[in-house]
Amino acid sequence: MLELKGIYKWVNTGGNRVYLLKDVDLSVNEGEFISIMGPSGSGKSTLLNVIGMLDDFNEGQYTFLQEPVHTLKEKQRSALYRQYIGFVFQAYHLIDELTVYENIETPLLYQDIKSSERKALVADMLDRFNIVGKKDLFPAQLSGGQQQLVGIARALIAKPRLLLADEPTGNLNSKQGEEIMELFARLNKEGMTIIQVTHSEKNAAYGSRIVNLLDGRIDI
Amino acid sequence: MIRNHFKTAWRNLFKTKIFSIINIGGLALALTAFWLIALFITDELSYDKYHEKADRIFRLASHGRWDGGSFAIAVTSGPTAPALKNEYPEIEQTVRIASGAGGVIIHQQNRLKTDQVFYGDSSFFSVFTYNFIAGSPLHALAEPQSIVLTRDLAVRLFGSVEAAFNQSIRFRNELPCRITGIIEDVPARSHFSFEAIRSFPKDFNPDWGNFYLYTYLLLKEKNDAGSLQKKLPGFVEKYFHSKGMEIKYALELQPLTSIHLHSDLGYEPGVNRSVKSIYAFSLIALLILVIAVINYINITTARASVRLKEVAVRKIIGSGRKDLAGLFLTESFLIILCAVLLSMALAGFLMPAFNHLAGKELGIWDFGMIRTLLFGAVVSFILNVIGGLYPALFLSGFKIIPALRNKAGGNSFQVLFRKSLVTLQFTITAIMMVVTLVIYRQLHFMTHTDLGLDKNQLLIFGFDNHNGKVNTHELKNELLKKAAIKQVAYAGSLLGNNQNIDIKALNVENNGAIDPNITLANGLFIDEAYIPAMGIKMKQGRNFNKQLATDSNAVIINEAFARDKGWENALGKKIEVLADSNRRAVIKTVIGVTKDFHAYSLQHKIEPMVMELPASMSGKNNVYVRISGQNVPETIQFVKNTFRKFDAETPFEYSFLDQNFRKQYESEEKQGQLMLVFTVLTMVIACLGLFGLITFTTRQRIKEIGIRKVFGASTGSLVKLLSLDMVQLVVLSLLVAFPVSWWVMNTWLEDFAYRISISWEIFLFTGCTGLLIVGITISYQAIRAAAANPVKSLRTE
Repeated sequence: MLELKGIYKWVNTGGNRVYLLKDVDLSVNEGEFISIMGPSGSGKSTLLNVIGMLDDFNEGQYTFLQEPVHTLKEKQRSALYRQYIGFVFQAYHLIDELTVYENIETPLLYQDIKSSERKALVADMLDRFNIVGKKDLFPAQLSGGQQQLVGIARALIAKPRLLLADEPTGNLNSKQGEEIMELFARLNKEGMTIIQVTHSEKNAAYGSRIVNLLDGRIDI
Repeated sequence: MIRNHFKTAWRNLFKTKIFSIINIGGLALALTAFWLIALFITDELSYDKYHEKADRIFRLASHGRWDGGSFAIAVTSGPTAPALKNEYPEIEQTVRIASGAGGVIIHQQNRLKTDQVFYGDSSFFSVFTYNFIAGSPLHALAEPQSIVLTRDLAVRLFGSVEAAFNQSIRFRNELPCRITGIIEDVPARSHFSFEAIRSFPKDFNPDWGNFYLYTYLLLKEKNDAGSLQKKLPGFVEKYFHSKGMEIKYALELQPLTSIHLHSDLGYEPGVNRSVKSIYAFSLIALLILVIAVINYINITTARASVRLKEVAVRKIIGSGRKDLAGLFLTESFLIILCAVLLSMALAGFLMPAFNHLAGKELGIWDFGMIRTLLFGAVVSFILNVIGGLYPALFLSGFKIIPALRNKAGGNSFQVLFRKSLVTLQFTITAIMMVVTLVIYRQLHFMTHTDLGLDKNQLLIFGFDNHNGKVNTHELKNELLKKAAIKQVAYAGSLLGNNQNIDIKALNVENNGAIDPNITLANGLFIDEAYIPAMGIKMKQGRNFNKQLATDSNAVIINEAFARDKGWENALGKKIEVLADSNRRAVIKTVIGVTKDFHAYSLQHKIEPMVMELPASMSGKNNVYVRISGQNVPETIQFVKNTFRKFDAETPFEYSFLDQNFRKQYESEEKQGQLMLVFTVLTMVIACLGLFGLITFTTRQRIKEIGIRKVFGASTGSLVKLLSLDMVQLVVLSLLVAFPVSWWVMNTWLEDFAYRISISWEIFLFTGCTGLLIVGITISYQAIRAAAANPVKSLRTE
């Protein structure tokens, strides 16, 4: 599905070059569930952002669904990730002013999908995640676990082929975390490719493969 | 999508109440001022446009120049109009108007005095457009002894329009006139107003040398004005200069619709306004709006950091920059819409107060509901583009990852930009403060300066004794019988209300001989009681003495006259004047010099003046009565009763000299009051913005403040930390504002012959007040933040 080859990313601070990613090679196949692990500051989130095309890199080649991402312009890249990638964050990052329903609906609005179709898709998603009763509440009125469910529902609504999750259970208690992981496993079984960043061995165990990062390098 | 934008924007409005209130409130206040000023300016710009042929009507003005003098007047001589019409076929019609047709109107038992009556050619109502209720515009003035009344005057005289039409009225000492027409009252938007127009008397036969007629030309094509103007020097040559006129004379065509704002000549028939004041008002309206828009931009961009996360998330889940900018534009649109609606309500509510200040009778929909609403919509749109576009582009432009980590925004350009805007706001505010202060200082100066005469407790009334039936001496004695009346004097002119005092052409002694070159000076007829009654001081020589018959050949001059002539000792100098009755020159001798006194208000320089004993009764038309301050109403009643004994017909009209002077400063006073209102408004809006900004920055720095406090910072040092930035900006604004406002106000003061100099105290006061107000605005938030419990603020993370 995607392939990273010799990816470098650095920042210059006061004449010193600090490497965030160093010669990273990674290929991911359709249907995989990968967990990226490593200590704080090892470059996990950076790697995830590069894969998600939210962040750029300085050197190397990145192919996503046969598209050479490193040669694409910003606009083409955003078109690509909008179509194929869903994001889930540790801090949920829901839009506070929108209700649960509206939060889930928003990505569809940006894709100019018709109102009737939107309604059907969102209703379907609410149903699937068992949050129909919460659809008119605002994020602040939900528990962390429920918020993350909404976050995942929002990430899935546009039918992405790749789900990127940056410590999705980091702000949740263990029971809520477990539920989210179960959900991920189920999604993966249904065919969704997932890459998650996690600190927890237990969460990593839900995945099919673990990638260890240390100081921006893949640690084999 | 738009619907969703509105939904989100609406919720945001309520979520951030304090900033919404500041934004909407500030904008609404500014817009209120803007609407009111816009109405005012529209009104000023629409003077005389109601005439159907307005664009083809031009007034003739006269300009004369000679060695040592010049005039620029709104009148021409009588034969000019018919001669022009004869000469130039592009002139369709002419109309001449003469003032002085008023007086006491007598109809049965009714006595009514009005000066608002003019003579007019029969073409008057076909050149100008007035709505006839009765009669016909074409024929109303065709016959001599015709008069057309306004509705108001007709009703005052007859009780109704119907009762007045075709009736006969009489001006005192004149033949009766027939009322041949009644028109609606003259619209307020006219450069001259009247209550009646009369046809010229039968014996109307003006000569070329007598300049007193307002002359209007109706051209066939409005574009002919330019070429006609070029032909006028030839006309002047043929009809004036070749016939022995010695001064350089020129005629000028003034478009009718530009008279009100662009003409400032002698003998203007009404009060005009300077176009400068229109510019000034436009500028003020714009500046106030700018200040409010700056508030909006500053608060919105400063709060960007709060919106960063949302921007990033929206981008991640698929929003393009266009959609984001659309969202923010919707938010600003909503705020501006609220502000516009609120301001329209406010403007309607404040209309009466504004009308009072501006001396107008305006209504919000005066210029058409649709036009007004359209104008409002256009202004809102422009505001949205200016005020909304920058924040929208700024907010939608963040990169995702830094924004998500809350690290974008607050770059140095952004901070500098915001600071520049704040500086601009306070510069404008400080300039307006200085302007207001200078206006008030000048007003105070004008109303409190020693005039060289005692203007208090001096009652003046007009006393028409043209026919000399009344012995003025008896009237005086009668008045002086009352103890409260201290002195009574007569004079030919009324001082203090800026009515023209006669200008005399004199030949004055120079090196022992009478100089053939003419000297112009104000001429005032006074009796021997006048100088002591007015409290005018003598500098040299003596007052007139009734006992000395030779004093009829004596004059008293003022200091300005002596100074003008360079006379060290003026006594005994000879001045040749025209004697009244037979227009023969008489040589008179200077017997006294008064100290300078103000015959006009302080906008005018004290001109050289000669005072003579009146040769005829007309020199005694104004009675000056010095009264004691006690029981003034009773004294006035006594004067009135006494007046009645001598004149049973004329309505008794009196004034007080100090009030007459005061009235001359009304326009400056209103200017001052309006400026004061606008300055306070500007200050409030600017402070509102500052309050919003400081509220936000202190919230942003709450953690820093907590940490500093934990490490021992005192409340005082924290307040200083939080406010220093802003105070620096205010000081910078003051430094910019002072030279600008000094220059502006020096220019303004140039219009006054007697003026204050702008002292450093004004700037000191502005600076201190500005800093104080800013200090109060800032300190509320700063002290609150600095005094808060650090544990609490640190926990908010």
